[in-house]
Amino acid sequence: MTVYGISFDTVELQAKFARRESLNFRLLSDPERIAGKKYGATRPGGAAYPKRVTFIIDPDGILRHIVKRVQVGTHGADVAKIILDLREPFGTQVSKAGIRHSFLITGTITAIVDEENHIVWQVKGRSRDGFVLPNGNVLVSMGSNEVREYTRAKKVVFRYELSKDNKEIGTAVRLEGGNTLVVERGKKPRLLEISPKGKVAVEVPLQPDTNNAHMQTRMARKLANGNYLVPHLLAFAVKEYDPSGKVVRTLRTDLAELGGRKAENWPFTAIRLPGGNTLVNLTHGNKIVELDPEGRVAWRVDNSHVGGRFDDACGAQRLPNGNTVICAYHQRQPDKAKLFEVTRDKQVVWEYKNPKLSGIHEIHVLTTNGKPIAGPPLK
Amino acid sequence: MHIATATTLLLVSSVLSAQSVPFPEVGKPAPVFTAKDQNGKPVTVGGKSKTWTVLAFYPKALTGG
Repeated sequence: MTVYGISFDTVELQAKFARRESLNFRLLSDPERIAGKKYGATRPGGAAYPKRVTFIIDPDGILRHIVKRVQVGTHGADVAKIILDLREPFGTQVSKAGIRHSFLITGTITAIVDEENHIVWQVKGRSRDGFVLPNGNVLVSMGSNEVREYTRAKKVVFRYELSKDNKEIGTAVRLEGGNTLVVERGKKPRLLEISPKGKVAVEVPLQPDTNNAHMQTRMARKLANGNYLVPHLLAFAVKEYDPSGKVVRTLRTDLAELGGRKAENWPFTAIRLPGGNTLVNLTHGNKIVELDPEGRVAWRVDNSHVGGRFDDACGAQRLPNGNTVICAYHQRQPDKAKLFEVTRDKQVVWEYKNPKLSGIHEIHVLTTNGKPIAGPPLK
Repeated sequence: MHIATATTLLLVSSVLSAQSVPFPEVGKPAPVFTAKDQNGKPVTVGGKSKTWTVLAFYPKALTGG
């Protein structure tokens, strides 16, 4: 938003005022009371100073609100809240259970949506993976070739660019020690840990079983034991690599009970849950499964359980209450859910609909009904 | 007499107050004007803009708010 203070004082007096108060907004001078009359801010009897009143104008130039009782001390915050409330909501959250989330979405847009469905932060461009960090900054893999950490003021404070050998960046995760986990796809598929200064601290070659760069990997994650868990779409497998690059475990997604290869159960997520199961969203297979440490299906949800809401299952997040939020990346129908949440017993308890948006690639749920999601996100 | 004058003055002032210029209507295009900022640079308020605009009238410079 652009803020202007305005009074009937001269330019010179406004300049003095702005300097003395170190104001971060501009002061307009209206000695002829032209604006004052147009806005009804003059006082009767030709008084030398206007009423204390604030006007809020939307980007189309429409006057949307008048604040007649200005509380000087909290005015900035009050006005910001009024503008948020006036804005067109960005989609709707549907939940009979009364669930409201705020969340980061990556994909065709890169934005944080609050519980009232207002975009509260957004940067231009498409993105793939993304997290809101504990300090509030946003780490995202933007486009195909860069990982960026943005402050809420959209300043880039960390950046990693794709190496020339490769074609795409997918994963972007800030690790506990401060490194950033990045996965590059292309001729030299590899997993990297990048130091805060941008140097390659760890490099692990990956075995995606395909030269199709785009289909080599999706959302890799680092485990508490120091290993890396990597979903390889066309390998129909989530592989666990030790830091030396040795595959120590393979969880298959072309199991007969999941419909075999023809079901196109390409793994997108590989989320290690407390207890040892791995939560895997299966893109074209339109299902989500928990695989136990031996690779057996311990839990599954598919379109027979959720009324056809799966439509290219990309990102997912397991919430502390055991519910799972799932992205329907390919869903283009205006009235259908772009995100939905299922309980352990496969009931849909929350949906996010937005006719103006398709292509949510990943999700980071931040709050539920005003409370932050506890602990590191399982996504 | 004095009381009558005072009453008249009060009446006149309340009439004047009621007749002061009304605020523009919410939901309609905001009035457009151009004024100089503290650096003498002209600024146009109203009409299409990239962002929301907040126009805060305040009584007098160096009085806060």
